[in-house]
Amino acid sequence: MSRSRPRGYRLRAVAWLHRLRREAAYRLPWFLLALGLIALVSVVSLLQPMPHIDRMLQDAAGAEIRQPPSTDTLLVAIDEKSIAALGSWPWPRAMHAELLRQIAADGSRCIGLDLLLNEPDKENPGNDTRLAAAVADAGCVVLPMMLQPAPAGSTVLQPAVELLPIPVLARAAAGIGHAHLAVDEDGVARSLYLREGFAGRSWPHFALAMQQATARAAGQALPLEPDASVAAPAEPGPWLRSQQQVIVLTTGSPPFRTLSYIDVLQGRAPPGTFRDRFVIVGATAASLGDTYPVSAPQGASNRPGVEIFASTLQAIRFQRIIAIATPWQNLAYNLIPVIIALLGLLWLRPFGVVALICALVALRMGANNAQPWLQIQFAPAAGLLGLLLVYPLWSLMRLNAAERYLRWGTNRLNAAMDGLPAAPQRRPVGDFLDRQMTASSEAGLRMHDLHRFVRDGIDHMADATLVLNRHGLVLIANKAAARHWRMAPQRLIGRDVHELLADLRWSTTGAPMVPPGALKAHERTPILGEGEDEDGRIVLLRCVPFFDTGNQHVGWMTTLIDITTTRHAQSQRDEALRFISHDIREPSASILTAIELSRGRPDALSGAALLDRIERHAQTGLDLADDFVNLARAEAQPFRAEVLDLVALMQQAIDDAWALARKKQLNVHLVTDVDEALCVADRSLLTRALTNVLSNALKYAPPGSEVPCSVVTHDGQWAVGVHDNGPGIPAALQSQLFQPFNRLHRDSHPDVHGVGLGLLLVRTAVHRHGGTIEIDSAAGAGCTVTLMIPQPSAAQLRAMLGEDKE
Amino acid sequence: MRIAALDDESGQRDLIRLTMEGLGHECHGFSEGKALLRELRLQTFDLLILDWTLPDMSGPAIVKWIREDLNSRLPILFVTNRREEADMVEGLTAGADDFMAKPIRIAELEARVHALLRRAYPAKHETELAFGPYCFYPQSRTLKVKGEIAELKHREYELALFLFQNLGRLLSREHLREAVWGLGTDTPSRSLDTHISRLRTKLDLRPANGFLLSAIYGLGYRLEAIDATAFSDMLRDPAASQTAT
Repeated sequence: MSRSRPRGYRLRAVAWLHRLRREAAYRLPWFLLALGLIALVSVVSLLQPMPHIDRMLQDAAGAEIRQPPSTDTLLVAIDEKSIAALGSWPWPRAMHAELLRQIAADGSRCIGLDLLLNEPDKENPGNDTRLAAAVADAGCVVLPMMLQPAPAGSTVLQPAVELLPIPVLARAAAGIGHAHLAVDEDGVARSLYLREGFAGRSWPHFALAMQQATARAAGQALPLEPDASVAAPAEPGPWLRSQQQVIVLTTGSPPFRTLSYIDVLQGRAPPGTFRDRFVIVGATAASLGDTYPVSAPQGASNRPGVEIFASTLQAIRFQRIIAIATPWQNLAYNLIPVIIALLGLLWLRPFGVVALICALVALRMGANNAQPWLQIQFAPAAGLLGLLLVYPLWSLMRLNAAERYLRWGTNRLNAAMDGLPAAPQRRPVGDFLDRQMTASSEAGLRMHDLHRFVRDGIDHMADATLVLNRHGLVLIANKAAARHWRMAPQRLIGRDVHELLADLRWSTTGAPMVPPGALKAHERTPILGEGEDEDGRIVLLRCVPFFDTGNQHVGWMTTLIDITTTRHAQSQRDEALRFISHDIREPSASILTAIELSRGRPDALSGAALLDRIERHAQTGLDLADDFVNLARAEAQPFRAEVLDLVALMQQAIDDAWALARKKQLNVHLVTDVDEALCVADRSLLTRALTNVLSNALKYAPPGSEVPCSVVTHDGQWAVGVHDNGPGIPAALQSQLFQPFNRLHRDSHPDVHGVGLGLLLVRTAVHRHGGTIEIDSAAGAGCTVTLMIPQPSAAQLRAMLGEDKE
Repeated sequence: MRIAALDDESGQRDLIRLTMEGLGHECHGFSEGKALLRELRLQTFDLLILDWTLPDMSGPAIVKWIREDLNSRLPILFVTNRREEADMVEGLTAGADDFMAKPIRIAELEARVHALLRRAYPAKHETELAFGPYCFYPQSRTLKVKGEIAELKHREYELALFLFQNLGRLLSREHLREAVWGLGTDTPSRSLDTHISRLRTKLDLRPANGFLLSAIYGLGYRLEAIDATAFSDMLRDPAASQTAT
């Protein structure tokens, strides 16, 4: 067991591999489609050759990813009104210091001063110091920094540089954040990076810096940010950006409470306006150019940078972050539904596939709109493209395959039926598929006709024919088979042929021809030969396997040819030849011997004794010939049934045998308890039988004895008995009684003529009447031969007699 | 009487000729059917004894020729090796009057010839109404057996009379039925058997009374008068028996 297990595993593995290979061959078109689609979706997803479709889809979902307005963030706008009041930009930094002081005095939580202060005030250096003091005094002030990109066509000598606040301000600030937005190719700002910077100098975004500064002020320990007072290395390497996330805009008009710079500066803001609030100071005036187009439901619209920063700050604070998916996440997001749809093709019907694809598309749309919940934004176009393509492509391939298969199948059918009569061709109409379907159904009809033809052919075969499946169960049985088994063909269907032929035995050995389990699915040895069944029918059985076009064994064709009459005639002929060659010759030979003896020794045998002997032998020869002919006739002549009286027939036989009885001084008398013993019989056959039985008794009865005959009722039959007091037949010899040409008393009673065909004739005749013959005898106890003839029913008699009248 | 015997075997022919001459008849032997037919056109015979199988033509063909072409009613007796009923029916249908099977037994041949001649030429053999113990009285339609009147019904009497009038002759079942019940009547087939059976019982038609009513298989019946002592002799040695009837 333990040794065979690995072998079993190996076998199973081999079988599994084999199955897989077959499956693969069968699924080849599917594999091709799957490979192509997956490659397409992957390429589109990774290379993003058409980002605007993704953007369109993302913008469509944009309405869903707004956040509600918040009251804890205020904007102090450097707007047209302030510029009109304070003069053109830039303003002296002392003014900014005053503003900060005003705001901080009201108890603001954190101030974001969105002004790029990367160069010192050369005219009033004192203003820088004053602003730095105000920044420091305000406590929580965040300043922006930016990247000065390398000029177009620049060399390595002029790398990109950080534009940082001047050191004095940087030192005073609670935090420094980059003020970049990620602007797509279409110029719309849709996302930003929470972290940007050279390697090792990763700046938080301005909004993130404000949030962190607030957290630090509240005493939270956060990782240190880069030191702005230290300049970036000369060759800093590439500018790295990470943690890209969608800009979640705030609804409302305006989304944030906005105060004019000039109003705050001049203290016109009501007290408590800034208490515990985030304040972002920045330009909103169109002339200052600090506005960005953002995606909006109605299309792109320009928003000031400060408003975007305020929204971002709010998003960070309330964890409304929607990250932009990485390419690999996008790939997974796009591929998984396509793969599901592809798998669906394998197991679902067309409607199921369409439903599945619709469900997947709906799911993707839902996922697109559920970005705030998922906190991730994918580029869904590639997946959508894959989903929309998968079914049309598959349908096209399957339709192509179906059409090819139809054509192949039709051609094959037509080739198989080449030469057989075809129905008149209809003119093909419709498209290519209709025409092919018409051709297929015509081939199918021809096949049906062929099937009918074969079926009728089998049905009308003269010999019993069964078509069996591989295990020997009957599939088709013809009319001759129904006659052979004496049951309706329908009742033969499904029967086990081992049962049907259970009684059939080899003529040669006597062993069963079809023992249980002889017809096995895996063994295809034909059974051919001659056998005999229980009814004594001699049958030529021919049971051969038949195969389908792939040479697979699919069943057995069984034919039974009843050769009983042929064999019977053969054996009769053989018997007759033996009879003629031996028995018929014997009397003639005896006569010649007697004559020879008489010539040689006239004194030993002459005159009357010679004649006597010759007469006896001649009589024997004559009787032989007569008996032979009578027996043959009894076996073969047609049975003419009529109603006869057994009493009268027996009396007639007794009268006819009168001469013989008289010669031996025998007293033959009939004893009967009925007036009439009517039976249905053949007059000549039955008369011969009775005469024979009687003459047999007369032969063996000792001279002068009684020969009682009787006709009585016995068990619903007529018993016609003839008794003699002759030598009797020993029980051991009684079995030989009905063998042809066997005269038992040849030795003991040489003077009695007869050759023993008599009893055989009687038995044949009685059997043909449906009766039996009984012999009651023992050595020295005489012999009673009784013929049992069936008594007809009253109805039978009436029918027979009525028929006669007509 | 002039009798013609046709048999291709001289032994049989000689036996017939000697037997006929023993009865006082003149017998001409023929070995070929054609020779007999030729002779039949030139002269007349009173009785024909025919073999069934002949080298040149068949027995039934000869009978047919005699009945149809010669239009003669002369009695014909078949002596044949053939014993099958079908053959017998064919012979009788062709127009033969009786037949007997070979080997020829002299007593039987004498009886058959006697019966045929008596029926064909009644002037020479008076129609008798007394047969041994059986006496018919046509006027009163009665039959006395050993002097006592037998209780017979109408048809039983008719049947008995017909059988006795055709003593020794083979009567087919059809013939008997027509004679007693009339032509074309709707006779139940059992009737004949029943009547024969009753006659046998009522008249005690037993060999012991000198009469044997024998059935020729399915063919018909023959009522024969027998001499008990003569029969026993005849069985032992046919040639020794000279008398019948």
